[in-house]
Amino acid sequence: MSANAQNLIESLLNPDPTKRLGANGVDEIKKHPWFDGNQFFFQLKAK
Amino acid sequence: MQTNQIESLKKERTVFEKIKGDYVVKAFWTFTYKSYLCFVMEYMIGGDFAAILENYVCLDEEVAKFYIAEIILALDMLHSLGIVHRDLKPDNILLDASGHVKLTDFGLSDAGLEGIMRDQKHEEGKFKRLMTSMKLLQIPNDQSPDTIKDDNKIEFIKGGNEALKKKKVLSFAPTEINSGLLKRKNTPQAGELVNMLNAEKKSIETAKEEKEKKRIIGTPDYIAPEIIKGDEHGKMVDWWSLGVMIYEFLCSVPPFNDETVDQVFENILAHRISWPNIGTFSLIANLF
Repeated sequence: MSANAQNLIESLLNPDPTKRLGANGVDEIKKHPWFDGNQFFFQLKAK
Repeated sequence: MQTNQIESLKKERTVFEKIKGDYVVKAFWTFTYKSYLCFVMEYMIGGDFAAILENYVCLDEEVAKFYIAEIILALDMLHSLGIVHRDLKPDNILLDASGHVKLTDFGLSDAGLEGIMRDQKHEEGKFKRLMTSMKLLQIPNDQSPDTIKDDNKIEFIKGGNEALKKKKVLSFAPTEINSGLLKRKNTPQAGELVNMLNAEKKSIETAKEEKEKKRIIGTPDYIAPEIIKGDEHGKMVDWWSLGVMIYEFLCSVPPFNDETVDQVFENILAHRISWPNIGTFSLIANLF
């Protein structure tokens, strides 16, 4: 598993929902380095 | 049919109208059979991710990234409509004919916590899974999608499940059918009907096989800690479940998995995650 993947999982598995990734909107998940800082989602939009 | 059921049907239909879009499995028709209210759902030829993980064990990171990204977009869409899925897991994530992700079982029906608990205790996960293609209407859920607070609602679910246990379950399981059996017609509705009929024949045998095939039935692996603690919860529970699933997609087993349901709960509450040996696992992942 890549370090970025592990970091994303750890951020999502924060026991405190107010501090969990996504608490400040979906963009903080999309912008996570695992998705190459949102780049990945731009490509998806082309679907 | 009771008045409150008709009322529920109308409400659920409203939810379906609200969320009709690219990221959810569509409902074509509703009909009644004996005491059941049934939903005829879009046929998802790609099957669900529980089956995919069974076949492929785990996914390459680049492959997982694509599906996870689509799941994120789908969840964001649901959240923007004020709908919380609450029961996100690989079984509820399906692939359509073009290979794109669609969610099902989204906060409707018995997707609430009560349903999940029941599954663990009575090993009725297979029933939930069959609900993927045929929904039995129980909850009007578009009023307070963010919290399970309404006691009446929970009672209603309980009652529903009790009734279901006693009766023979009429089940369709199109996701389990060999694709060779069916050909998609130009008119989707005709196709759906064929699917339904074939599914009905197949359902009894597949349900048996399915039970043996499935890892842990009605697993609580994806439940956020705030739900277990009984705290008020909202859309953040879906992002938790997403984290569990990313781990599972990459490592093949969900992070809090254990031998018993109680141990899984304990692991979630204690936040006990066993991280794979980074080198070893990416090596294994590359093999597949």
